[in-house]
Amino acid sequence: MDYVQKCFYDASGWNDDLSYEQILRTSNNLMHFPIPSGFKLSISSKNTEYSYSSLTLSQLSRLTGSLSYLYSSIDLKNTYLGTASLPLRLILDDYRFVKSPQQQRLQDAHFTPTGQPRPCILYGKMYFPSQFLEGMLIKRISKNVQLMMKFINTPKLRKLANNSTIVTLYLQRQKGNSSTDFIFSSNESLLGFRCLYKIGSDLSSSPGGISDSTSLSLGFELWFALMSMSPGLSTALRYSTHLSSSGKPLTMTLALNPLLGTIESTYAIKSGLNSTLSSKYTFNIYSYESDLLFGFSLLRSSEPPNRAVPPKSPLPSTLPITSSRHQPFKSLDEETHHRLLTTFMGINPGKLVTENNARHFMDTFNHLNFSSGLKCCASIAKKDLNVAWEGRFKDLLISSGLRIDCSEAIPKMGKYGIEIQYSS
Amino acid sequence: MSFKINWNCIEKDSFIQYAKDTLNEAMNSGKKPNILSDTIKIVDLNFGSIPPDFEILEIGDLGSDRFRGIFKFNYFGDASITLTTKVSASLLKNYNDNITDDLVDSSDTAYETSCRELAGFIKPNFIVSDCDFDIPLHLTLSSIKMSSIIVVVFSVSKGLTLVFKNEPLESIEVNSTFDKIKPIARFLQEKIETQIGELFKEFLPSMLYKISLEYTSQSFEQFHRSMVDDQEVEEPRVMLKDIDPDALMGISPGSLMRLTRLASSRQTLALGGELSCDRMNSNIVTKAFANAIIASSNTFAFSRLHMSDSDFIRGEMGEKVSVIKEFQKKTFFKSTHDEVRPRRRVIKLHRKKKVEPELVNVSEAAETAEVPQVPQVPQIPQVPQVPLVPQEPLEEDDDTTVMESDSSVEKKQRSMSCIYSGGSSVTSDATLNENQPEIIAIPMLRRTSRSGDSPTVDSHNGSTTYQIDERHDHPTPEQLQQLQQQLQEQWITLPAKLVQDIQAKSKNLFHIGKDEQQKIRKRIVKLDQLLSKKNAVKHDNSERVPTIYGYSAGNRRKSGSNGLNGLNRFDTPPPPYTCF
Repeated sequence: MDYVQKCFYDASGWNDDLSYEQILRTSNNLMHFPIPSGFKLSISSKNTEYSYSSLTLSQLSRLTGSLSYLYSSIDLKNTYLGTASLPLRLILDDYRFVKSPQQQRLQDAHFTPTGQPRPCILYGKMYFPSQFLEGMLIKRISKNVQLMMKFINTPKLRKLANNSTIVTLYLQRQKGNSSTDFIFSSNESLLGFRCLYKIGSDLSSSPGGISDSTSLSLGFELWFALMSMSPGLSTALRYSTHLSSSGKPLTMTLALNPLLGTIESTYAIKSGLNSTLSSKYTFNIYSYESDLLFGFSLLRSSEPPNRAVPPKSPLPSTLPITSSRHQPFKSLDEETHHRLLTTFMGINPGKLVTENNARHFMDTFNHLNFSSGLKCCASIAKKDLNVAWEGRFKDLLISSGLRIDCSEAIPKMGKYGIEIQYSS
Repeated sequence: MSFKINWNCIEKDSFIQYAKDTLNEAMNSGKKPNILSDTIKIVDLNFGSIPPDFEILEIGDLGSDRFRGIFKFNYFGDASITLTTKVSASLLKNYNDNITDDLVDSSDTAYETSCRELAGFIKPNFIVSDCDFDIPLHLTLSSIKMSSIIVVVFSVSKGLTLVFKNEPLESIEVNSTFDKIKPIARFLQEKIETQIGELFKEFLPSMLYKISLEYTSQSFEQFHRSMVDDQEVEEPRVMLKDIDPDALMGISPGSLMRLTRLASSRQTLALGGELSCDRMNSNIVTKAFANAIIASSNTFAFSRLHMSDSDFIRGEMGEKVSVIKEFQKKTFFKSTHDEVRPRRRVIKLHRKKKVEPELVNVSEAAETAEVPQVPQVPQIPQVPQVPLVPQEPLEEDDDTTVMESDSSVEKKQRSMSCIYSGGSSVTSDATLNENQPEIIAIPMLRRTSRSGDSPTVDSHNGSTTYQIDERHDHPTPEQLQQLQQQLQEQWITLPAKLVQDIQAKSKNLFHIGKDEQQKIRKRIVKLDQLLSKKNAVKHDNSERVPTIYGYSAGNRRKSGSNGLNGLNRFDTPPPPYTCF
């Protein structure tokens, strides 16, 4: 259902990346990836244009499952794809590219408004046999304001226990380069406020300027739980750019928690078309506790799928430089001639190296198809190793994970599991 | 009844380590609360030097392997315990963890994964606001004051169960690393006070149960031995030879008798009484038993010590008394080395005025096996003494006179005293009334002392100091009564058995069963053999008196009766000696 939500955001023109919640997304993807536990089978389908359903079965100590329904007021046909044809790049949480302002503008320009100006999505899931209920409502109130409500409910399972209900409200507002969120949760009356401001430099003025962006994002969040009088505060900074030599994108973040004195800094670089490297250093100035994490991600590219992949982003077609490298200019056809020349003319000599590298990289990357991805993360202080593998196998999406705890002399296995998904 | 608690035993290292491990395990079992980010470890456990106070309120069930009782329990000691752990001070992290834990706690344990999924859905996604932040915490609990009523049930198979009937904790002092921050210190104090009460009610009994199972799986002796082991080693043993290297077993017979009496009273818990034997140690011949032996036999050589009526008739008393005196002299000189004159109590019988004084040498007894009775007998007050010079007639009512005895031979006398209650009327008849107990033994602790002021007639010749008037008359019962009264005037209380004997003089309380007789005979044979051996070693013209201290003829009946009475005190008539 996260995928459907993502599709909904795309279809309704909501830039989820602009939220402060996503500021550390790259490093979290690479180093704090989830590991499934036990065996889980998930089958989802798009029932009609607007409704989706999903069924999961999981077995860890006991067989449990869940059933969920989702209703969307807009048709997500353009964005939603089944697992058979889904480009894994969208599913594999890897390096998160920050869109430059120009890209954003382009995207907005190509945005075709759907039928409903105020789309909403309704989602509900019930777990059995425990009869837990969770639900979500996302409603676009205005062009820039979105309301999201999440709730959970548990029945009274034990004599002395009460049923617990938690409702969380998110009021999100986006405008160009900034976003603010207001959060209220009924659990301990938590109040939150988030804010992000992006300073993006639009380096390329060329029409074909794609993600050659260098952006600096600043944000902070403020929390306060009224019932238990617990405050929380953090600020973060993200700098995303490309390596000038090879065009490889890299992201550096620095996050601070002034109350508890924690400093977290990460560095992630897409060292190749298929690989990403990341590292993270945490330090607490009061307790001197520190941790160093390393993570990498390897993607395996594969043949393009049978069906033609519809163009994901309405960007001008890129230049297949590689394909025409070995052919003399003369033998190319007319169209190719034309394309080459226009592209050549659009190159800005001053920014030749950087832009071209970056552009080239991104172009190539966007056209790659991946069949599987392997992620690995190791933590020095906690002495553990997390490994996850995701891939597609015959229309099925398989994710597996393993955690190895090396804190004692003999490494022992922590969590491990496998998850199989199928959606149509 | 009270308890003496040997609190030092608990300070043994192995026990403290075991207690620490058990406590650690128990505290870290169960679900760890979110606020703690590390296990609880005991740094220091100190039981203190002051043991708790137990007062027995009720004992419900008492057996060799089980016990149930209600006690009043007080503890005002200086035990202390120091714990260390880590507290998570990242509040939003605790907030998130609490969401998960509340869901997990309030639902079935099988739904844990569903709970986690559910919690993951609703948790706000904090960015670095929920980082780890652990503060180490040292907590010291000391000055624990407890007072409660406890029920203790103990059985060897099931271990120890202890239940607090009411809230035990009165006050406790909490010191922690947060002492400087007053709100937190106060919070800790209140929280711990409430929790410790519950802890004692629930957790301590289970821990004690576990410890008791561990310790009562061994046998009791092993358990006690292991606990008290160190202390026994520390105390140096005192050897007998250290006391007196020269005379290794130079314990005076009186002390031996006293020890025997103490040992036997320890075994039977009787505070007094006429225990006639040492049930556990057949080698110790108590006086009463020996009396029983001798009294039952008429054929023994030392039956010559019987002072029967016939002796008086035949006039052999003098010999027997001389035997006694010789024996007493020897024992006296064995035990004393200084120039101490033996004191002999002389009872002058009632006599006619012009008759020369009749004196009966009375051997004085200091102590007997009946030591506990002796203190009741006060000092014999100084009786106006009339020096016995031939020219002075005695007063008629003066029954008892004390004379110094044997000025040439200075020895103290330590044997059974006997008063020759020949009656108040003194006649020329040397015989005594056979119907009376001839000699009634009266244990006397002190003797009235006369230190050589009134020389006796005998002092002239320095010979034995006794004179026996062989002209005693049979004392009539009235005279006996009179005598008794006079004695009573002199002593505050008459020993009970003496009264008994006086009253029951005609009764034959002396009865030994057939099998007992057999045993006694066997025992006597053995003694006789010992005797003969001794005779061969230290030969003397007169027959040696065996080591039967303080025996005198007059004890026959009394001791016999005492022996029987002592025997009657047991549940079943015990064979005095199990092996011969």
